[in-house]
Amino acid sequence: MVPDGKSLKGFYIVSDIRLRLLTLVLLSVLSFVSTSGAAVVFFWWLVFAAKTTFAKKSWKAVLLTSVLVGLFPSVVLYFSGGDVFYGAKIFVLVLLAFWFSASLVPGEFMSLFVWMFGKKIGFDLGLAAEFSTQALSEIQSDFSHMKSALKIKGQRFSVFRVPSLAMGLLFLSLGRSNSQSGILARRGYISGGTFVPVFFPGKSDFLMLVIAGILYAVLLV
Amino acid sequence: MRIILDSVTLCAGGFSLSANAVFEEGVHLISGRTGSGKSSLASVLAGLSSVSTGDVIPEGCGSPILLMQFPEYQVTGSSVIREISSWGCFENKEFFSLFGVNVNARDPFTLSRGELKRLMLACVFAKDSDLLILDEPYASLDSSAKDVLTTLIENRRGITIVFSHEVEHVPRGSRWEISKGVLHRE
Repeated sequence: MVPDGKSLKGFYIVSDIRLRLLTLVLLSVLSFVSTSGAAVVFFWWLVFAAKTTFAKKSWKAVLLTSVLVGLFPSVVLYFSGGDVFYGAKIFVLVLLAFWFSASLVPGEFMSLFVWMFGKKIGFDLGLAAEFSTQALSEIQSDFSHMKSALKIKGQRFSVFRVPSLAMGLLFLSLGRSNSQSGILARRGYISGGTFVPVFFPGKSDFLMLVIAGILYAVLLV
Repeated sequence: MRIILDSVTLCAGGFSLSANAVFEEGVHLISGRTGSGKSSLASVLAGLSSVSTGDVIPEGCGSPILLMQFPEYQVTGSSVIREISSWGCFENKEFFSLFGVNVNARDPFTLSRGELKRLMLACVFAKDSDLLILDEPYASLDSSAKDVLTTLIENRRGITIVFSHEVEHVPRGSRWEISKGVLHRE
């Protein structure tokens, strides 16, 4: 069945990456250039994006990362006499990045890049992007298994465990990359390929984009 | 000693699995297609993840030990010696010789997949747990190591639950199968 922007197993699926990307660009610019824009974008995120973000990502990871990434420049700028609200803007940008990443569906990057750049460069870029997002998701899953493994041994995660866990993640990722490259080589892949981009824009895509456009126009234009 | 799956359902990713089962002392072999939920069930039995509905009731079992499908997940030591010590099982040395494990200062990640699997198998058997769950234990093993493993599984006390696709080296015990999203005894 084709997802059409409706609820799928409890998660809200937004299915046209082009509209979502345009929304992301508008909101990122709005958030970056003005503090009031960042505040408005934060409310936009709460209304439209928080549910999708927290459905896929741990709220602890999202909030901790966003606050830490935002806090550091604010502290530096506070002591150097700069814009102390710069950190708040960064905080909102990181939240937007989490939303975009959480809303990604496998195959979307391939569709986007082939639509933008064609069957040669677009196909290669899409393939690289798909492999990268897949690898990130697999690393997340590997790490979760490793934490379970520590629990089996009666150990807790600590900085002393980081080198061996990192080595494990590296070896597993390299092993998978090796298998993937082997499959591509056996299938005769050199560069480019045939792929038909497919997009299923839902009402929510347009709603989010229109609201983002209105906010952009009111606050910046 | 037994572990009961009381009206358990697991829903994750693209599968759904329901199970009503009692695993008594002895060997239980569970098979099923790739993606049928074997690893998820293993994780639930080991108490590492929760069920969607129903209850997992361990009766008279101590801490479970799970051998994961990929041995790399379970490496936390920077050498073979430290890895064994991280399991706290140095006193049962016979398992390391049975599986042909060289106990030395070598980095576990420089071992081959088969060597790493044998190291992990030796560690989990040396732990001598009441409830041992093995997820694809025969993968990456050569024929002689498979024979050793089968003998050890059959001679173990307590509950041993083996999730495997293996058809040649199969330990004696109760047979279970996951098919059409249901765990049933053969």
